[in-house]
Amino acid sequence: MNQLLQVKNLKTGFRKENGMQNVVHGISFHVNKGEIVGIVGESGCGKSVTSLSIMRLLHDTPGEIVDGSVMFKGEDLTALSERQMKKYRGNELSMIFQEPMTSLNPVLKIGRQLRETIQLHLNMSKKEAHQHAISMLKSVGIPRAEDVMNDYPHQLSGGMRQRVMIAIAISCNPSLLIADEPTTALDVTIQAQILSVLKDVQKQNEMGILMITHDLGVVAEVCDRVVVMYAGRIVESATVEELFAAPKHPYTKGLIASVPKIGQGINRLYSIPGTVPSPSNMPTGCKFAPRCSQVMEICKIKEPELIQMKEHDCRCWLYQEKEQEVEHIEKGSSARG
Amino acid sequence: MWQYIVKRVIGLIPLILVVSFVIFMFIHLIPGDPARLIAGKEATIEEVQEIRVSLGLDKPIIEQYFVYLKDLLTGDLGYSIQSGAPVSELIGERIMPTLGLTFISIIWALVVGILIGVVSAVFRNKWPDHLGMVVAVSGISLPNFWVGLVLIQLFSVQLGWLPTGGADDWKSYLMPSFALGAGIMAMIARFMRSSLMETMKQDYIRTGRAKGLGGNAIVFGHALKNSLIPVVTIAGLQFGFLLGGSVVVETVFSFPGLGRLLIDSIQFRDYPVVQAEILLFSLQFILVNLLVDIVYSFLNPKIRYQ
Repeated sequence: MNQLLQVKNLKTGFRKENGMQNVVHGISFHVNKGEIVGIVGESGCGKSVTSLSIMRLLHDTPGEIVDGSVMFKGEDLTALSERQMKKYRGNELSMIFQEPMTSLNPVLKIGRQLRETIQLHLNMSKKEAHQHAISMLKSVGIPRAEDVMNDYPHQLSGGMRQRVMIAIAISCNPSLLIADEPTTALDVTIQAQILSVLKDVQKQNEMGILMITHDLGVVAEVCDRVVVMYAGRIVESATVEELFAAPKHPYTKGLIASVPKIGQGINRLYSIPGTVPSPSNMPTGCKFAPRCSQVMEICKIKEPELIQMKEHDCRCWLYQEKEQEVEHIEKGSSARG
Repeated sequence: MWQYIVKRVIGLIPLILVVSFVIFMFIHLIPGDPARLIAGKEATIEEVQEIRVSLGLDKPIIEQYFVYLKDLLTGDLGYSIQSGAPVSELIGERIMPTLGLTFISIIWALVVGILIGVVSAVFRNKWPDHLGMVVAVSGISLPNFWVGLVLIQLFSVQLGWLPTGGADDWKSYLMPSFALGAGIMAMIARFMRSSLMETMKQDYIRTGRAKGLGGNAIVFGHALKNSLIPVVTIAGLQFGFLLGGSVVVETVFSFPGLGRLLIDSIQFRDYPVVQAEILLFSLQFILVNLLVDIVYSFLNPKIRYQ
């Protein structure tokens, strides 16, 4: 089987005083072996909650998986006990976070933080784990790795810390790495370095990466396929080439239009008007309708389905109609024939 | 590390000088003439003057301070007006019981307080947390002299298990150190709880979970050391106040320590003893603060490397 991760109809909600409030509304997507899939969307669209749901790391949030399944290598992660889940985390399935500055424990040496994961999952002695840790640090391009083992996080720069995070995440040779905004907190030159480190380790270890980001530049740089999320729903999904060449959903078009392009002589950058609606105040029809430039009557009344068009899915009435028309014509012609 | 400690100790010297100066001046602001006090009411003016000269009290106050400082450095703290014995001897007899009492108090308060705090934070809003916080609130709200009296009533008068006072053997330390440490234990428990709960929200805790670590490894391996930092501050401050608290508790338990000596000396206006004791308390406060900073630097590598 080629599919490494298959998320099916995942619904995650936040417990509120007046009951559950869904944040992720039944999303489905998959990551193949050795593939980099990006999840893109604005802040608050549910992409981080999706990643935490896959890792089952919603402990410290009011969040809870309400429905759906997360199949990882044929095992449904949502059905596992916490004890079984711990065996996956940091081992087969690992994760790096947005904030390299705060994601490492400030009072423990880098070496200890690396060894911990290695000893936990790989059954190595302290000495072996130490050697393995050094080789991991070297593999993510950290110079003088032996010295860094004895450093504390505050002695390293942001980029170095994110490299350490990657080293920890890949130390047990995971099949899937979830990277939640791994470059957002870093400056541009460092971003490029971290992305190339990620691509390198991905190639070496043939792992799949789920790249959570709001940055289309990152997507274009590293991803094979992209899933665009809006208000807890998937609104479009396609290969990177397809998405950038022929974006379908008005939201995706807006996102692409709001990226500055070199040589474009306009003074003002395009921005999508309005903001993401809050979960408590969702419009009834298409959730993007209030901000959409191509909004129609039906958009305000009924939410469109995610329709599949070859390798390119889209949730928009613009295409729904066309599809239906095509279906009509096909039916009509087949009836005539 | 050692460099840091040496640097901090050298930094204390000017502080101690300032403190000794302030104490010396304040004692001299107190109305009343020590020479007259020593000589007694019946003495003639000539006799009083004689004593004044013999004690050096006729000299300018700054000169008196330097004489006092010189004596201090040679371990001469003067003589008690009340008993005529050297002050250093009086304090020497009393210092060990008080130090013993405060150390036992702070150590049990730390151990139990941290334990209650951790359990409360881990079982937040469940019954162990509620129980722990009831203990903590009681510890803070019940005054230590009252706790002392209740203990005496129960364990000495009713059950006859423990002596009502004195400092003869380990048994006589049990009740005073319990009464003295209860408030601090409570304070530490509350700080430990909120500090650990705050730490558990940090990003690196989530990282720990993402690594596959279990609850105990997270709490004891990652969260505890981080959350001890504010607790150490409180414990240090409280340790300083213990010295003051011991005055009350020592009185309740007729404990032969520095606190009792201080009360007696104040009642008799035995200035040399009072002055020496206040200086000693200040020194203890300063040393505890140094200790807190050293513990900090152990807990927080950022401080160590600055």
